[in-house]
Amino acid sequence: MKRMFALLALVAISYAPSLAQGVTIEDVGIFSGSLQSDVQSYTEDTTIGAPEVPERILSNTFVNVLFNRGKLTLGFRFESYQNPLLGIDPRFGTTGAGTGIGIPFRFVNYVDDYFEVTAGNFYEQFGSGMVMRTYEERNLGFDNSIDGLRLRFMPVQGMKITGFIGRQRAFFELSEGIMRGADLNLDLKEISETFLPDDVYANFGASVVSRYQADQNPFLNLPENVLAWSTRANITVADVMLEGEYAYKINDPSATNGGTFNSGNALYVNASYASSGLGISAAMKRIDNMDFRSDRTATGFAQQVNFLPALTKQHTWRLITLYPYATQPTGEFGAQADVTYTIPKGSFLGEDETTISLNASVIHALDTTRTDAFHYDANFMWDDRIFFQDINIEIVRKFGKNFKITSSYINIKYDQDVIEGRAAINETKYGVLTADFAEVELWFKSGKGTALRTEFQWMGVSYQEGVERDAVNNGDWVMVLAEYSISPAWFFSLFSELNYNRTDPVKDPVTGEVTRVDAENIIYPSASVAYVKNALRVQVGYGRIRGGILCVGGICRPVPASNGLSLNVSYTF
Amino acid sequence: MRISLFVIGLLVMAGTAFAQETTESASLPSVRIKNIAGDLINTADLGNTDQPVVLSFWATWCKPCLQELQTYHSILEEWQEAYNVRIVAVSIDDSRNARKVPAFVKGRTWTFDVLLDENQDFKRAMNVNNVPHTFIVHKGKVVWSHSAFAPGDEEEIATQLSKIVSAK
Repeated sequence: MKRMFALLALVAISYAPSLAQGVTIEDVGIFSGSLQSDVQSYTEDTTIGAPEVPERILSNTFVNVLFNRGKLTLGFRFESYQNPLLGIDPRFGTTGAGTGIGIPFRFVNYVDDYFEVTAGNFYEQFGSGMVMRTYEERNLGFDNSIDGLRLRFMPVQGMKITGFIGRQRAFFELSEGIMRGADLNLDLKEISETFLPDDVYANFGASVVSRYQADQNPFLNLPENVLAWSTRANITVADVMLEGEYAYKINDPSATNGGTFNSGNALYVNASYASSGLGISAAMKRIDNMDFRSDRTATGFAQQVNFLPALTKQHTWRLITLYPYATQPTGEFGAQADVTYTIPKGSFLGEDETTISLNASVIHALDTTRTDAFHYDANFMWDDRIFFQDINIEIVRKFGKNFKITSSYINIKYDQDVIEGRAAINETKYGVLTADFAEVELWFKSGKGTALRTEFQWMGVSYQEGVERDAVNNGDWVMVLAEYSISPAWFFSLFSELNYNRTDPVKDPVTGEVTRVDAENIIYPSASVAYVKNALRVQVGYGRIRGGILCVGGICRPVPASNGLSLNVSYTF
Repeated sequence: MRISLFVIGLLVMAGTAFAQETTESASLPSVRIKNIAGDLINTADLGNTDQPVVLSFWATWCKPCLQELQTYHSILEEWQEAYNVRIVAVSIDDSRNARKVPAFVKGRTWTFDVLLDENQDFKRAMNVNNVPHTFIVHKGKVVWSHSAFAPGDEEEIATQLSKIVSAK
């Protein structure tokens, strides 16, 4: 293994002399690629719930290589999980040869004016992805590429027909189901410029995707061919955009939908207005039994065919990332509104712009009634039960070129039982918690490329009466961060979170009654240094890290809970 | 394992040999994505002219990216006058946030070009690992590339643009 890492390091060094991207060889073609390696040491820390890791050090490494000559592109990705980092699916270390090493992504692609062929692995998205989206998010341990054949025809400008057949990646193996699909996309503006007035755009599309998987269930008659389809339209007139998509899936009893024989459907509508200084968007989404996978027995992150993202704002302030919303594919009804307004320079607020962002979203349960063991009735409208609610405001104000202040307030209601899957359907165990969050970020830039950024965050959390609480993450929070950067090479970051007002449950041995008593505060200190040289980035960090999206050192990435030393290397050539 | 070592070994040899032979850097790959107005753009055409292009990969949820784009917003006019530069910000937001990008951008009065790389096809073709990642493209070739953003990096970009202008 040491040999492997030494060679990988040599790869990076051997390419380092080329400052810009890619390596061109006369009469041959262009080589380009990237390297990412994340290494983490783990120390058992029972206070924060960080487990003992027998290997003590875990690592994920990715090397992408692309070769391009004219219309032809070849590529592959080498992956190594020794063993997978905590938070990444351990099956990356046990499937295939069981070594965690392989080349699970390779392809050859040829593009001409009117057609395109891809053989091998590919990523694809139909519409907004409600029936089909394959993509890679390696920081989450996610890659659902299809291994097979994809054809695209562009018979006229503005018309694209895509068809594919293949099997989906399942870690270092392929999924049991065979996936087939086709998509038609029409862009009227591209078909004919005279067809529509200058400031009008119109797009229409339709998709079908199907999975074949043999039925080996001795008791149930499961559909072997599961068809999903969708249709979509997008019309833009000057500053106003309207968009809608509807998807349907035939009955597909699976491990994630409780074995129901109901069909599934989803509706998404979005409207927005955008002009200089004012942007407004509003959206609603209704999802009913739309979890779609290339294997009906798959659970968790594995083998998802479609993409059902949350209709809520993606917060990145560290403390509030403790409570992110995840779509409930079995059923939900959500709405969101978002307004961005910039008060221009020279207003009553002075010579600098002030940007105000308002956002609100609410996600309800669907109103359903079970009719028998395998079916339920679902009304179109929602049920009273709220899964998630978010109301937030952010104000950004610059004062000249060297000082900026960002301030936010967020109020969230979060159903732990549903979102984290901690209780059975209709059972209240952890209940709904309410989080109030506020932050102030101050940013100073001095001369000669140095800058200091500080964050002060607070989050107060209140719980329903009589419910259980998380064993570690309960109580209120404060966080302080300081990041000093010296452009273009160095980032130094220090931050610490404090979890206070914590309580532990105590059970009375006689009555059995549970009361809560004060528990010790937990501190999560952390420090990191990052060095950047052109497209090379190396970061070393040490500390107690809670799970969530972490944004320091100029990069945002999700990290699992841990206590130890981390090394992250990233390079593009 | 043996195959992987063989591939890596080949890469090492290729990297060493090719780096010495390199006289030019890569052209931009061809991916067809839309801008926020709705026009279809072929990325191979970006920076194909004599005008230098600053190409920045970003996302609405990435704070350092917003810091970078806000910096470009404040110095865009100055740079256009000095270097005749075009700034193209490529949003890698997926369908959770991509529909909000036009309102997000216009609400902040940003006037540079913004492309929507919703399934990250262009990001993969450019071998971008994480955002922000910034390239300077001139005559269809990448002449400078940088991962991350720190306040003050705009001065390094200005230096690179200045070299391009003075070399003309």
